[in-house]
Amino acid sequence: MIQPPGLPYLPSLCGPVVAGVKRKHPDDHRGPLEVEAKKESQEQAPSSRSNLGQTLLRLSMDKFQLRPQSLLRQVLITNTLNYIKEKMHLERTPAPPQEPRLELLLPLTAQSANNFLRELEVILGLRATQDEPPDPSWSPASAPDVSSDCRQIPPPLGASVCPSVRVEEPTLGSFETMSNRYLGDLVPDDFFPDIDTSDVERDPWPSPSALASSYGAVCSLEQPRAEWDWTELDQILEIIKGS
Amino acid sequence: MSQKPVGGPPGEEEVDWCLYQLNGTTEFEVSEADIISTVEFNHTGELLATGDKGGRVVIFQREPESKNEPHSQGEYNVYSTFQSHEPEFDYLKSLEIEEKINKIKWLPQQNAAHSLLSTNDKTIKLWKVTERDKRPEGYNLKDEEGKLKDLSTVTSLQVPVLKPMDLMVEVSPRRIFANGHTYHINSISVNSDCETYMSADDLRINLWHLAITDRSFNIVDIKPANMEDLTEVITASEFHPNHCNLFVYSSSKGSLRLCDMRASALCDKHSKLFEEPEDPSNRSFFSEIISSVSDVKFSHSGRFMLTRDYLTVKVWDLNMETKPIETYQVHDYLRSKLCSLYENDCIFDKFECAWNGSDSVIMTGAYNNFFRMFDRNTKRDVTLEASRESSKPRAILKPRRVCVGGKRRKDDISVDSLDFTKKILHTAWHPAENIIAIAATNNLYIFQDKVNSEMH
Repeated sequence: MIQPPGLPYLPSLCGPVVAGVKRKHPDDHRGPLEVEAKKESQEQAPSSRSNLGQTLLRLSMDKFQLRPQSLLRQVLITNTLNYIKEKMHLERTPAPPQEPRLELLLPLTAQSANNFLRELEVILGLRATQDEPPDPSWSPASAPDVSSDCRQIPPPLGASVCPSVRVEEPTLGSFETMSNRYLGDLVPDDFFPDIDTSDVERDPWPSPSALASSYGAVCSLEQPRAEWDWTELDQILEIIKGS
Repeated sequence: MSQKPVGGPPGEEEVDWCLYQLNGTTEFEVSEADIISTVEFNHTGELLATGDKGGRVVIFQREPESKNEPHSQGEYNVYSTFQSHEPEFDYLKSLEIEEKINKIKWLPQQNAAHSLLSTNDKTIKLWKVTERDKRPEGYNLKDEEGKLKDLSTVTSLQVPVLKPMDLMVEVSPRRIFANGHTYHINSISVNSDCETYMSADDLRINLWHLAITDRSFNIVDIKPANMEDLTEVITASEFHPNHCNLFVYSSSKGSLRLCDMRASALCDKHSKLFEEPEDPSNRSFFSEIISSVSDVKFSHSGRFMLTRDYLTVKVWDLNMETKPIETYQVHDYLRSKLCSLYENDCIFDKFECAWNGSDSVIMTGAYNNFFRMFDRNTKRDVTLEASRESSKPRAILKPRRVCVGGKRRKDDISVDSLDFTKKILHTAWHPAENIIAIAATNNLYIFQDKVNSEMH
C-alpha cells in the first residue's frame, strides 16, 4: 500500500484513498470515519456529531503523540480540539431555563442529590474517596464500556501533551472533571432519610450509567443523555445546605 | 463552471495545453530527497529553479532558437545544479534542521549574473549564478594549471588572451543569513526596492538587507507572551510588487493582513485586515483547518491578492476587506471526506497558487496529480492532469473530470479513486507567456499552450 511520504502508517485511513482500487460502496462496508464524515456533512443529529467529535479527539491526541510537527499543525489541531470540546460541552449542557420554577429547581431525588453533594465534596477535596462503598447499581453489566472508554480520556491538554497547547482550567461540567474515580464513586446511600422529598420527586433519576454518560459524553457513545445542568445543582445545594 | 480550456490572455481565452517537457525519473520508488518542494521562474522567464527535499537546487534555462533544431526553442534544459542546504543539528535545542528547500526567490537581474535566495527552515542563502565561456591564457607568472612558474624559466613577457571554452556555469554562495528565525521559515519575498527582502516564520517576519547578514529587523511579531495563548500562526507573506512599503501576510485563521512599513517600525498593527465572515451555520469541526491560508500572491498589477485555502482559491481586491471578490472551488467534492483527510494528514497539505502573466487566469494544484485553472473573465475552469501516461509530448491535454455521484461519463474518475499520495502542491507560471511548471512528486512537468508550442 502506498503511504504518503513522511506520514505515519495509518492502515484504517489509507484504504479509502489509495488510487486504482475499485471498490463497491455499500453502506455496511464503509469505514466508520467515512460514514461519520458523510453524516457530518449532512448535519446529522447531535449524537452522531458527538461520536465524530470523540473520534476526532482520539485522532488528535494520536497526532500529538506520533512525531514532532510544525507549529502550524499543532495550532490547527489544538484549535480543533478546543472546538470539539466546546461543542461537546454545549451538547451535554442544555441552555439554562429562562424563569426558574420550583419543579425545575428540584428535579432530583434526595438520594441522587446526596450523591451529587458527596461528589462535589470529593471534587472540592472535602471528602476522601477511598472509603466510599461501591455502588451496587454500577455493575459492569449495566455500563460495561464506560469505564474502559473513560480511560481514553486525554490528559489535560498542554500539561503533558504539548507545550504549545492551550490549557483550559477544569470547570464543573466540562469533561476534564470526569475521571474513573469520579464515576466509580457514585454511591446509592441515602444520607438524608429524614427529609421528605415526595414533593420534589418528579422523575426517577437516571441510572448511574446514564448519569455517567451525561457527564462523560466523551467516553460513552451510546448512553442516553440526562437533561440537567450545573446551575440547577448549585441551587439544589443551597436548598439542601439551608435545610 | 464549464470544463473548457482556459489560460490565454483576454480575448483569447480558449487555450489548449500540451506537455512540453518532463524532467525526472520514471522509477516507481521515489527517494524522499528527490521530491520537489518549490518551483520558481525568474523575472524574465528565461530561468526556472526547483528546490527539493534533499537541499538541492536545479536551475533550468530556456534554450535559444537554433536553426538546426527548430523545435529546440522554449525547451528548458538543466543549466546548473548545486547543493544549497545540508542537514544540520541544533545542539542547543536538540533539533534536527532539515535540508529541504522551502522557497526560492529570484532577484531582479542587475548585471550579467543571476542571483537567487533559497531557504530551508532556518537559514536563507543568497546565491550568485555566473557563466564563463572564455578563459584567460598566456599568463607570465602562472602555468596553465595556475601554479607559479620558476622565474628563471621566464625569458619573455606576453599579453594574456581570452580564449573560448565550453560554457561553465558557476554558482557561488554570496551571503548566508542565519540565526534570524526561531520557528520554521515559510516564506521569503524580495522587495521591489531590490535592496531588501523579508522572511517569515510561524510567528515573526524579519526584514533583511541583501548585503547585511548579521542583522535583521523584526517587522511583525505575533508571538503571545504566553505560548499557551497561541491560537494563530503566520502561513505565508509577500511584498507588494510595486510599493516597497507594503506587504501582506496570511494566517492560519484564514485572514490576510496588509501592513505599511511607513506606519511604524513594528507592523504588529495592520493597515488592512481582509477577512471573510464565517457563516455560523456552516461551521464544522474542520472549519478552521480548511480556512487556513496556505499561500498568498499579489497580482502582477498589485491590485489583487490571490489566496489558497484547502478547498478554494480566492481573489481579493486591495480596496475591499470584507470579502473576496471571487471564490473558486478547487475540489469541493472533498468536503464530505474531511474526516478521512484529517486522519491521513492530507488536510494539512499546503497548496500554492499562481497568476498568469496578465492576471486573468489563476492556477492551483489538487490531488491525483490534477491541477486546476480558472479564467477570471469567462468564469470557465478546467482540470488537467500531470501524468506520464495520459500526456504524450505535444499532444493536447484532455480536461479531466471528477465524478462525485450520479451518471459517470467515460474518462471520469470517481472521487473514491483519487490518489491522495499524488498531489500538486507547487506550481509556477511564466511571467509573460503561457508556460507553466508543475511539480509532481519528483517530476517537473512543463506545459505550454498549443499555439506557442507550434510556433516553436
